[in-house]
Amino acid sequence: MESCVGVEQDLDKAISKFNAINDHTDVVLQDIIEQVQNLKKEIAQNPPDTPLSQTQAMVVSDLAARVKQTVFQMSTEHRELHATVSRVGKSIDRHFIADYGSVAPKAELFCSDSNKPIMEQAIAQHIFRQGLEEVGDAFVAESGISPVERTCAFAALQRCAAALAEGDPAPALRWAEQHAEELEHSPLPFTLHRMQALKLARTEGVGAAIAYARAQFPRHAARHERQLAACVCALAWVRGGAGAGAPPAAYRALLAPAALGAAAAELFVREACALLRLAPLSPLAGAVLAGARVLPALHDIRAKMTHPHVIAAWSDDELPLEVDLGEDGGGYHSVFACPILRQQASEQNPPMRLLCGHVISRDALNKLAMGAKYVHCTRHRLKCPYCPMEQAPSEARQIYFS
Amino acid sequence: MNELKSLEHATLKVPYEVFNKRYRNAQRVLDVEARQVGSAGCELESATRKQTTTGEIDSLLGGMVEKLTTMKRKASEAINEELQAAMVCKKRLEHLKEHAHSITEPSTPQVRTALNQWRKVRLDRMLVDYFLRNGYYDSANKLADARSLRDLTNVDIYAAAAEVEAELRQQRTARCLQWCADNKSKLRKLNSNMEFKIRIQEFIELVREDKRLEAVRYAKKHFSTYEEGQLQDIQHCMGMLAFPKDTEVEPYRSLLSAQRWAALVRQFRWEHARLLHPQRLPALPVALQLGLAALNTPQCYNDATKVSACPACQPPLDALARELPHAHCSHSRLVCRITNLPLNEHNQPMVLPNGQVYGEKAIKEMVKLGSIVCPKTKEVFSMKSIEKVYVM
Repeated sequence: MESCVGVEQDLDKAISKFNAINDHTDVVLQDIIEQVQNLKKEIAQNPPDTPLSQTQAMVVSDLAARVKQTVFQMSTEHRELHATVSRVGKSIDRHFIADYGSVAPKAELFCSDSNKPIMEQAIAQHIFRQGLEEVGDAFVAESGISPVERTCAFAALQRCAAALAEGDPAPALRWAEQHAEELEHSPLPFTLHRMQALKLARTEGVGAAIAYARAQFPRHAARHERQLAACVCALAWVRGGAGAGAPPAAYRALLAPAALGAAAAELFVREACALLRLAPLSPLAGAVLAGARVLPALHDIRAKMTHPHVIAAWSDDELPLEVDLGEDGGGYHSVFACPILRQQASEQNPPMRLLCGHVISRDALNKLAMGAKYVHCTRHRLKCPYCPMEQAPSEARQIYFS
Repeated sequence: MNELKSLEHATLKVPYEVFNKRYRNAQRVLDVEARQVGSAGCELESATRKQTTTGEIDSLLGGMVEKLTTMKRKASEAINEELQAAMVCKKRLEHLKEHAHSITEPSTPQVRTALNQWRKVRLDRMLVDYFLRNGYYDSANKLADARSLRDLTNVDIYAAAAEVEAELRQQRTARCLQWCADNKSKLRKLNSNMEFKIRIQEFIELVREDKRLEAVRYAKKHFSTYEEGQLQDIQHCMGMLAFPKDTEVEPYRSLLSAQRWAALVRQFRWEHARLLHPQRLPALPVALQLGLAALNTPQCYNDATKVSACPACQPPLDALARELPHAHCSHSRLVCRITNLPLNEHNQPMVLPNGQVYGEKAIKEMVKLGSIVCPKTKEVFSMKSIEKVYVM
C-alpha cells in the first residue's frame, strides 16, 4: 500500500502542476494576444501610409519586448517542471523493484528455442480454457505452435461464469438444472436462484421477483434460512426504495449486482470444477499465482543476503526458503518433512510409522536406533521421541501419503 | 515486501517513460514557438527604430498575432498530451491500489472475490505484455479488447512498434529510421547499433539492385562517421561492391541473404523493448518459473503420484518444471489424495495395513459393510485394521 501512496503523491503533484500550467499558459497567451490585437486596431485607425509617431513607436517596441519576455518565460516555466516529472520516475524506481528477474535466474531458460513452445502451449491452453477462442486462434497463428485442443468442458463453464459476472444467471441455472442431483449439498443452486430473483426485481419489479421466489425458494428454505430471509428483505430496497434511504449494511452486498455476479461466478466455477473433477485454475494460472506469491519472499531474502555464497544457493536444486502458498494456491501434493531432522522425505528416506502412530523419517529412525544401541543397553529398543512407548526399530512400518 | 512491489514496476514505469517523452516533446514545441514569436518581436522592434508607416507596423502586428495564436494552440495541445500520459499512470496506480486495499481489509467473501478477480486481471495483463514483447500484436490486441484492458496494458504504446515491424518485414526502412531519429539520445546511451544496421541494409539493397555508384554515394553520406567496432562491417560492405550480387563468396553471400530482414525485425523488437522496459524479461516467464519451482515436488515426476490439479504435474508445463529446483520444506503439509482436503486434527490421517494413508473423511466415504478397498492397490481390508497416524 505505502508504495502506491508514495508514487501517487508525486504523480498527483505533477498532474496538478501540469493542470496549473495548462490554465496559466492559456490565460497569459490569450491576454497578450488581446493586447497585440488592441494595439493593431489602434494603429490601423491611421491611414496606412502615415509615418509612425514617436509615442506610437515607443508603445509598439514596449509591447514587442513584453511579448518576447512572456513567451520565453513560459518556456522557462515549463522547463522548471522537469524536476517534478523526473521525481515521479524516481519515486516509481524507489517504491517498486525494477529487476524482478534477478531472483529467477532460470527464467531465461523458458524463453529458449526449445522451451518457449512448451510455455506457449500452456498459454494457448489457458486462453482456450477461458473461452477466448478468437484470441487463442490469433495466438496460435502468430506464435506458430502446434494447435491446441480447442474445446474442453472448461470453456463451457467459463462461458456460464462470464455470463454470471455480467449479471445473467440463465446459462448457469440451466447447467445447475442438468446437475441438480449432484448439486444437492451445494450452495450453488440457491445462490443462482437468489441472483435471478434479484435480477427480476430490478428488471420487472418486485412482484415478479416474489412470484419467482415463491416457486424456487421453498426447496432451499431448510439449508439457507437466514440468507433467504436477507434476500427477501433486500427486495425492499431494490428499486432505489424511494424515501427509504440507503439500505442497511447487511443488504448492501445483495444489492450490488456486479459484486454479486462476480461472487456467483467464482462459486460456480469452484463447484462445477469440483463436480467434474477439474482443476479450477488452469496450470498456467495456478503456477503464475504461486509465482507471484513467491517473488516478494525471494526479494526479501535477496535484500538481506548479498554474500556470494548465498547467491550461489540459487542455482542449487532447492529454493532457498519455505513458501507458504496459503489456501488458494499450492497444496496439490502431500509433503512429509521429518519432524526430527526437518528434512523432506524421499524415496531413500521415506516416512516410517512407529507403533504408537507417530511418524518420523527412516534416517531419523536409524539414528535413534543407533543411539538406543549404545546408550540403553536394552537391546535394540528405542523410545518414541514424542511419547513413552518403546519398540524395536524393525516394528516401524513405511507409509505412503501419495 | 508484497506482490505489488515485486511485480508491478513496469506497469507504472512504461507509461511514465511515455509521460517523460511527451514532456520533452512539449518542451521542444514551446521552445520552437517561443523563438518564432521572439523573432517576430525583434522584427517589430527594429521596424520601430527605422522610419516606418503605420501600415507596415499593422501587418507586422498581424503576423505576431498569428504566431501567438499558433503558439497558444500548439502549447495547449502539447500540454494536454502530457496530461493524458500522466492520467494513464494515474489509472494504473488506481488499479494497483485496489489490490493494496483488498489485502489490508479483513478477509470477507466479497474481499476475497475482488482479490481473485484482480489476480485474473493480472494474469491477463501479464499475457498481453508477453504477447507484445514477442511481437504477437494481433493476439495482444484481441486479448486486451476481450477483457477491456487497453488502459492497463501497453497495447497502444506498442501500436507504433507494430507498424515499424510490419514495414521492415516488407523491406522498407523509413519508419524505423524515423524511430531511431526520435529516440537518438536514448539509443546512443544504450549503445545501440540499430540505425547503423539499417543503413548497412539500405546499402546492401542498392548493391542488390546493381546501383553501385549510388551505393558508393550512400556510403559516403552515412558511413563516414562510423563508430568504434563498425569499421569491419563497413569494409565488408565496400568489398561487396567488387562482387556480383549472386556471389558464393563469404561474407558477401550472407550479407545479401534475405534473412537479414528477419534479423532486423528481431533486433528492432528487442531495442524497442529495451528502451521502454527496465527489465530484460516479461513478468510472465519469471512468475511462471518461480511458481513452478514453488509447486515442484518429487512426486510430480512419478506417474503413480501425479495430481491432476497440480500445474507442475500436467503436460505441457511438467516438462519445464522438471529442470527447476524444488520448494524447500521443513514442515509437513499433507493433503488427502481422495478429497484434496488438508490432513489435520479435523481430518485425521489414517493408515491402512499396506501403509497407504488417507484422510478420515475419505475413509468414511469408502467404507462399505465394515471393509475397505484401498484405491491404490485394490487390496481389501477390514475396518478394524485401520490405524491413526500422528504427524508432528
